Amino acid sequence: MLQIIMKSLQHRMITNLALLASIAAGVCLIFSVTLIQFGVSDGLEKARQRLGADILVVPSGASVDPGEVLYGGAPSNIYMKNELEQEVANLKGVKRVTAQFFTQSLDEDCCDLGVALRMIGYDPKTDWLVQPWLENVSKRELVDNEVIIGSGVTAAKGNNLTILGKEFHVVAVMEPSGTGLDRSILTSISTARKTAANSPLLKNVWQKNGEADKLISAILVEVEPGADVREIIVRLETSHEVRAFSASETKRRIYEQFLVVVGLLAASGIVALVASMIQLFTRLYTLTVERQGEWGLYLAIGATPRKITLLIIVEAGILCSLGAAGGLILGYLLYLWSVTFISTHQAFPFVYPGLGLMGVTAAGIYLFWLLVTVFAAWIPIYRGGHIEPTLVMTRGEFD
Amino acid sequence: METILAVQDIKKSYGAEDVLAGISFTVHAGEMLSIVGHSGVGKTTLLSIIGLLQSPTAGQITLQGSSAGSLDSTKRAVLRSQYIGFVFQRARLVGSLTALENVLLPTWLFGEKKEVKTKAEDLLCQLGLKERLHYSPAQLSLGQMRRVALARALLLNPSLILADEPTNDLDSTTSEVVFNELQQAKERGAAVILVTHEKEYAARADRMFRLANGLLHEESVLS
Repeated sequence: MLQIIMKSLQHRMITNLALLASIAAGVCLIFSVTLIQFGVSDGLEKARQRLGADILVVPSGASVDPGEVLYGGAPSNIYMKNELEQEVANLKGVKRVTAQFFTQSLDEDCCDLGVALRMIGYDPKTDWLVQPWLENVSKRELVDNEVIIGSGVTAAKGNNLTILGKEFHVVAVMEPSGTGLDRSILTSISTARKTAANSPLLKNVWQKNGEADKLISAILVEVEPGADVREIIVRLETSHEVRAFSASETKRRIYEQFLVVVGLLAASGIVALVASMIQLFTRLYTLTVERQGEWGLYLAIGATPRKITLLIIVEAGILCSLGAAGGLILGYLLYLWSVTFISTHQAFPFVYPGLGLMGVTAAGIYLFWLLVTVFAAWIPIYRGGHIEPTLVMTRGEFD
Repeated sequence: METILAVQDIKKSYGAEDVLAGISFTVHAGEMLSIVGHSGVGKTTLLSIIGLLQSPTAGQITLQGSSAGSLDSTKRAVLRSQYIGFVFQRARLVGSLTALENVLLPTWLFGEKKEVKTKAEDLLCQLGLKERLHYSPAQLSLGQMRRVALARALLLNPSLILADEPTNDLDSTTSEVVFNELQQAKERGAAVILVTHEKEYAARADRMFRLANGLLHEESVLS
């Protein structure tokens, strides 16, 4: 029976290829858009959880994009006086603050790691962000030569890393967040300051702002429950030489920008999907006209109506499966390319969906198409099952 | 001699029109029976009823000992696949298959056996189509298509062969090849029912019937 189906598919090669291409295009767009959507949603949520602050405060002269600072992970060499930390903490509606110190971008010219990384020094006295990681490894705080690394740093827990000539011990590796933290090294603020101060290559970056131990790069702020974040930001920016960003607003803005891209892709996907569904319905409907004589012959030489049904549904199923499989492969490639392309133009947190989620998504899309195909095949199945075998004695020759 | 088909008092009406008005006959293994009659007299209808393609309005059909007239469509399909080989008025070849594949069609539908492929090739060679095994129907002449259709009907050694004007529109040489192949099938033990307009071939059957006014009248094959 399979030979008959394969021959029929080959015989109508051009029509079938057009149908396969149409199904593949629809599946490809829907699959890639779904994966991108999953990656961005998960990335933004993980980034929000990891940030653990409502407001990020940076020096007013810092020409940084909030999305870049929060999610992009571009090493930001920005510095301000450390007394600002206390001034921000004194503002009404602020629950707690903690300062961080960023070092210069590290690359092959200046360190022993092969990629550009950001070293973030946190303040153990006020921090509430790094502490959970320390508790995971049963430590109260990091000592001078200890670091926590992001998942994108090529080292493992227990390894030693040489950074700017100094050796560090990796005590923990953070989960992937899809943000710059994945390519960051966390250490205590004093270690970060010392590392920067001792590096002749980094001096010119921070020295113009003062002594390293009196500088900070950013202040993370948690507000009191019910406090107006927007109002606190306005007060911060009017009374101090700083720029402040709302984490949730930044997240929303990035997500909205991203939704435009995803929306355009999704709209194209839906149009392609509907077009391929119409083509599938048309293709299968024409079967009922052009192949009645052929099915009548099969019935006349002894095929049962059930066998005719099987012939139709397997042929439709093969078309659907080939189209969907091609679409899923193309969709995966499009997803990889899109993530790379978008990330070069827009900083956004992205967590690559796991194999399980990708598998479930692919299976869901395939099952959806199979159902559509069965539905589209219903008319030919019904007609095929009700053909009178005497048709073969009264009809003309068939193709 | 084994009775392959017994037809008893078959009637078929389309509305008020009685096409078949009570037809009875039997055909045995190794026997060829011909049916002649004017166009539109009901020959093809009779053939489709005894070939279990449609049910009679009344009457009994017994095929290889099984009462077939009242069976449902699935059981009739099974009987057709087991016992009947059809040669239709037109060749009825599937356009997506080659000549050889068209002959193999019944085995593709009911489960392929390797030795059948050799037999299909032999049959086509016997019918003068050795060079045309892998041609598509579009590349074959009418006579060649008819011979392919005949090979398809003979492939699985059916005990009953129903041939509906198999030599129609064919030249005399091709008609002779086709008729001889039917005769050889008869000699191998098949029962053959040949519906034809051509008296020459009808007269070469063991028994000849004329269908007129819904009834079969036996005629002498010598007349």
